[in-house]
Amino acid sequence: MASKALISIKNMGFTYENYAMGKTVNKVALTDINLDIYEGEILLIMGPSGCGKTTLLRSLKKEAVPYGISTGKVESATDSSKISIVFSNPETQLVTTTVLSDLALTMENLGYDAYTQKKRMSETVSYFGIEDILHRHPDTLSGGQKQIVSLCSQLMVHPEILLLDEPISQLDPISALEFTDILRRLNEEIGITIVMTEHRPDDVISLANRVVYMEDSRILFQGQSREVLKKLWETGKERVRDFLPVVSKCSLLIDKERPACITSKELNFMVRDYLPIKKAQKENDDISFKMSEEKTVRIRELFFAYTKEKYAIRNLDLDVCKGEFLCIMGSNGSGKTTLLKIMSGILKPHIGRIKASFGKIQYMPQELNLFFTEDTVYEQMSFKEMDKDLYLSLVEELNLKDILYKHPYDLSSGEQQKAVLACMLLRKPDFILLDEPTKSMDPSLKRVISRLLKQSGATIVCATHDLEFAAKYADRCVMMFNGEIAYSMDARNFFKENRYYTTSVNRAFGRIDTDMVLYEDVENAFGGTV
Amino acid sequence: MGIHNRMTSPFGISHPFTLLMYYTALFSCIFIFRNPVFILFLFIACCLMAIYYAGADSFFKSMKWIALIGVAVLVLNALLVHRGSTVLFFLFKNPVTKEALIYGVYNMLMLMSVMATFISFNVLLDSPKFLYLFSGILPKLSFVFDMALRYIPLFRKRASDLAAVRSVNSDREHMTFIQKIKTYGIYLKALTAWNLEEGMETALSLKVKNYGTHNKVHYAKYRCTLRDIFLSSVFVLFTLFVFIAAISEHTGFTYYPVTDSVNIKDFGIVLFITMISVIYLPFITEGIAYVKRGFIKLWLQKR
Repeated sequence: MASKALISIKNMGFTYENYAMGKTVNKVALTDINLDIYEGEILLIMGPSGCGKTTLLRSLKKEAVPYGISTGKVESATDSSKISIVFSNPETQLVTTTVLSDLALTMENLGYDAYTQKKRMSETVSYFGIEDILHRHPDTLSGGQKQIVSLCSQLMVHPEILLLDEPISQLDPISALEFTDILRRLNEEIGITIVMTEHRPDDVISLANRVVYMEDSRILFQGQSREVLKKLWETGKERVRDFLPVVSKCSLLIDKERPACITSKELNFMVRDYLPIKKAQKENDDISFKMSEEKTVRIRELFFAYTKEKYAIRNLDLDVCKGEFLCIMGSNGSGKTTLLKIMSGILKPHIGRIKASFGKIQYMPQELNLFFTEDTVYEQMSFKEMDKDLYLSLVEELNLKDILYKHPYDLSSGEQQKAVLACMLLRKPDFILLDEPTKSMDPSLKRVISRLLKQSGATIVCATHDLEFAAKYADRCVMMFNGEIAYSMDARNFFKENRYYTTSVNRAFGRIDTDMVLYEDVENAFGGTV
Repeated sequence: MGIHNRMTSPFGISHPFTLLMYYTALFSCIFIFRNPVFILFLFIACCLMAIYYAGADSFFKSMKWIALIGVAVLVLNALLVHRGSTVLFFLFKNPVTKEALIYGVYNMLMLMSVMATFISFNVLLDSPKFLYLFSGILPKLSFVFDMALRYIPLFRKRASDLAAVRSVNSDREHMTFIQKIKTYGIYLKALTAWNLEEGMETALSLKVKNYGTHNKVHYAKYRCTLRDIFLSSVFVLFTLFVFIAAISEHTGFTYYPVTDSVNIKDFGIVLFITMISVIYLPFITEGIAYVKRGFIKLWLQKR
C-alpha cells in the first residue's frame, strides 16, 4: 500500500496569537509534530476536541494554514492545487443558489475552459449519482447531501490528497455511512490519499490504514490502526479508552493479546472462540423503569403537514409519563424534530389533541446557535432568581470554568452542548426536550450529561440517532416511521429485538446472545478474562 | 402545472438571452402601444404566460393584489381627471367623462400587464439565469448578488427559528412594548454575530476553492441553439420594428379631449398581426410541440 511520502512533517510547532484586553495571549496548538503521509493511504487523526488536530490538518494546505506562528518544516511533494480540503460545517461551504453553481465554483475560480468544466462536471456527477439534486437550492438538501456536494466540488479539480476536517461530525449515522462509503470508493477505486480528523471514530475506523492519536498538541501514538487502538487500550485510562470504537473496546476487553476488531463482523467471529458467554453479573432486566400513571404529555390522533402534498406526522398517539427519559428514534425525515416542535408549542397540530401538564419547559434545538443570544456563556446562563449552588455545581460537573467568559459561537460543538445544557438545567424545568443532544459529544461527557438530566427529575423527551446513548440511558424508546409511531418499548428490549437498527455490540453478539446491548454488558460478562 | 411547463415547454427551456429578448419585446409593446385593444391582447398574453409558467395558484395569489391596484388606478383616474368632452355624469359636482374612464382602463391594463409579466418573468428568468446573463459584464457583483440571494431567506429562517426557540425557553410570559423591542434587538445582535462568524468560515472555504486567484471562467450552463438564434433574432427585429413604428408615430392613440376610434386600420393592422404573432410565439411553439407529441403517440400506437 504505502509507498512514498507525499507530505513529510518535521518537528512542526504552531502557536495561535490571540489578543485579549490589549495583551498577547499565545496558545500552543501543535508541538513537535513528526508525521509522514504516504501515497494512497487513509490516515485518521483522532483525539479530544482542542488537541490540535484541525490545526495540523489545515497546515497541510497552503491556502488553509491558520494565522499564527509556525515552526519546523512541512515538505510536500504535491502541488497545493492538488490538495483539497473539506470542512466540518456543511452550511458554510455552499455559497450560491444552486447545487450546480456550487459544484462548478472551484473549476470556475481556477479558470478551466468550458470544455474541461463540462467534462469534469458530467463525469463526477455521474460517478456519485447526484443528478437528481443538481438544480436544487442548497438549503433544501440534507446535511449529508450538502457534505457530498462540498466534496464533489473539490473533486472536480482531480486532487491527489483530500483533507477532511471532521467531515461526518455534523451528520446523522445514515448520512455518515453514505459519506464514508464514498470515501472508501475514492480511495479504493481512484487511489486518492485521504487525511481526516474525527473524534467519533466508530464510523470511520474501518476505513483507516493508519491512525494518529493526539492529545494536548502532541502526537501520542501513530501507526497501523489496530496497533494504535491497542496502545490506546493499554494506557488503561478511561478518558483515552473512550476514543476507541465500541467494537474495538469489546474485543480488547475480551482478549487484549489479539488484534483489535474494527467491525461488528470481526467481533462476532472472535467471540465464538470464547463461548459460552458467562451470564451478566448484573441482572439488567430488573432495572427497567416503572412507568408513572401521571402523564406529562398526552397526544391523540395528531396530524401535521408542512406542505400540501404530505403529512409529516399522521395519526400519532403518544403518552409521555412523568419523570421518564423517552428517546424518539427513526430515520431522517421520519418526523422526530416536528414532533418535538409540536410538544414545545412552536408548531401547532393541524388535527388532533395535545394535553400537556408541565410547569417549566426547556427545549434544546438541533442547531445550537439558535439557543444563544448573549455575548458570553455566563450571561447566557445567569438570570435574576438563579440558584447559586446549582450554578456552582453545574460549572464544576460540566467543567465550564474555562468557557464561562467566552462567546458561545467561539466554542466547539461539544462545549456548546455543555453550555446549553447548563443553561437549561439552571432554570429547573420539569419538562426537557432535546433534539440530537449527543452529536459530536465525547462518551465521558454523555455520561455526565445523562446523570445530570436524571438528577433533575424532569421528564425528558429526546430525539436522537445515537443508538448507544439511547440504549444506555433511556427508559423507553419509540420508533418513528413515516410520520407515526411504529412501536414503543423499554430501551433494552427495543434494541434486543432489533436486528439492523441496533447498537454495534448487539449487532456483533446478535446471533450469539441478544442480551448483549452495551459495552457494559460485555464488561460484565467478560470482565474476568482480562 | 407551472413547474412542469417551465421545465419541459420548448419556450421555457430556451437560452436565458432568448428569454430576455422576449421580455424586452413584451415590455416595449406594453410601454409603447397606447391603443386599448393592443393593450388588452398584451394583458391576456401576460396572464396566459403567468398561468402557464408560474401555475394558476401563484397567478391568482398575485392577481388579487394586482387587480386591486388596477381598479384603484381606474377609479382614481375617472374621479380625479376631468378632461374629456363627453360627460357621463356628475359626482359631487365634478364631471366624470367617458375619455377619463377609457384612459383609466388603458392605464389599468398597462399596469396590470407589467405586474402580471413579472410573475412569469421571475420563474422563467430565475436568479441563476439572470446572473448568468450579467456575470459576463459584472462577474464580481453578480457573484455577490447570488450569495446575497442565498443569504436573505436563510437569515429570515434563522430569525424566526431563533425567536421560536427563545419564546419556548424564556422565563417571561408577558412583555411590555419596550421589553419586546429590546428582545428583538438582542435577537438581531445574536443573528448578526452568528452570520459574521459563519462569514469567516465561508471566506476560508472560498479561499481554499481558489476564489480570486485566476480569471474566473463561467460554467456554460446553457447552450445557445439554432432555435435560440432564430427566436432571439425574431424578438430583436420585432422590438426594433416597434421602436421604428413609435418614432414614425404609428403607435399613438389620442384620449383627450376626444378618444380616437379603437378600430385598427392600415398600418395598425400590420402592427397588430405582427405583435400577436410575436408575443404569442411561446404558445405557438408549445402548440407545435403538442401536435408533434400527439402524432408521435399515434405513430407509436400504430406500430
